[in-house]
Amino acid sequence: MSDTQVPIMQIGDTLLTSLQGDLDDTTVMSIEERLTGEVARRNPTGVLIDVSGLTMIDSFIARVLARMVGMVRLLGSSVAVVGIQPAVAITLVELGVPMGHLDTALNAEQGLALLKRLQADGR
Amino acid sequence: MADTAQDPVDQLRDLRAMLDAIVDYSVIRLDAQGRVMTWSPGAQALKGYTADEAIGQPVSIFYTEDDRAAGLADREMRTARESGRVELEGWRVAKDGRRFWASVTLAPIRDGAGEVTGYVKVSRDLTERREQELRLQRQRDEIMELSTPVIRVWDGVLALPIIGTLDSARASRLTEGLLEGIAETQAEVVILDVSGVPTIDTQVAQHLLKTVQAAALMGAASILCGVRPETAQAMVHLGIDLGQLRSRNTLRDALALAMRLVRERVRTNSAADLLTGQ
Repeated sequence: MSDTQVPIMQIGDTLLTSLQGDLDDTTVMSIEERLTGEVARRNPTGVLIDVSGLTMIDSFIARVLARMVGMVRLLGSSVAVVGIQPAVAITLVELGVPMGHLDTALNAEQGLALLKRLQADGR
Repeated sequence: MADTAQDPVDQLRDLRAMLDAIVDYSVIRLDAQGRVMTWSPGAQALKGYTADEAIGQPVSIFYTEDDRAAGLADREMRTARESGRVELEGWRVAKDGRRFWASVTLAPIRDGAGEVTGYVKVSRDLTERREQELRLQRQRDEIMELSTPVIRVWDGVLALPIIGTLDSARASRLTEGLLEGIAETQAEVVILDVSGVPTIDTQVAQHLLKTVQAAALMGAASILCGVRPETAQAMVHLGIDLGQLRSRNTLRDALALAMRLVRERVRTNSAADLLTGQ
């Protein structure tokens, strides 16, 4: 998978990226590299990670997601995960992956509002 | 004993008579290649073929076209050979084309050297039982559907009145229904009304907790309501940690809280619009 297939869009001062199926180690590395690079370069106040394209999830992708969130936070931006599908939510809970620290919203629009609330809280 | 002195031919005849007396089951013998070697009144009653029509035919003539194409009969005989016996259920076809749901036991017959020389196949018509089971399952599904309704009580607010005992099948159904409801309506708050649940034990509490966590992952906040005094005591005694879960005594209070949460979110939304200059 080349970089062009990992979309990162800027909306105002927010970056939007999305995770899609068929992730392997190489793809994940390239997504992480690209995302951290873009966050450092553009210094957005918030980042939305859209996972509505993921219909299934395993512990590998769950860890990837948690890692991306951690990286963005370290770079000083608020981050919210949006569009978690029902099956994915159930799997995450059943897998027992600790996801309590994730800030989530139903869709990108509500995600933007969530980012504003997080920023107001200084997170 | 008298039996030991009996002529082997008589013994065989007795055995034959015994098999022929079984009419509710089809008992037949196949050769090593799966061709029909013996026939019985039970087999005729079930499959509609006479002995003359059936004997010498491959057993696959009783199978559906798809199963025949897939070589199911050979696979079953191989399994029987390898594991000594196979029991299964499936569709079979009678002479007149009528399909019936058969319960089949297939066992290999071995000679003194352990070589498989044929098979015994005992089948029975379970069509009626299967239909009953399916009907029962359908009714159970319907009851399940009716017993876990997801109600859209306000814009962005879903309510889930839970009535009756929650077993794990029902609880997972409930979780699925609720999460799908959230995805469909993009609800931001869900109210779980447990006033109709007689007892909440550790397992049920875990289910509720998982539901709340999954809903939170999707971005919806949950409010528990209608917890009974004895349930509250039991849950704390059991050491069930409901974490940050909001709880209200009555549905009315829960609704008021839900609407406040939605309003707060709307307010930050419009504040966000002002900030981004939209």
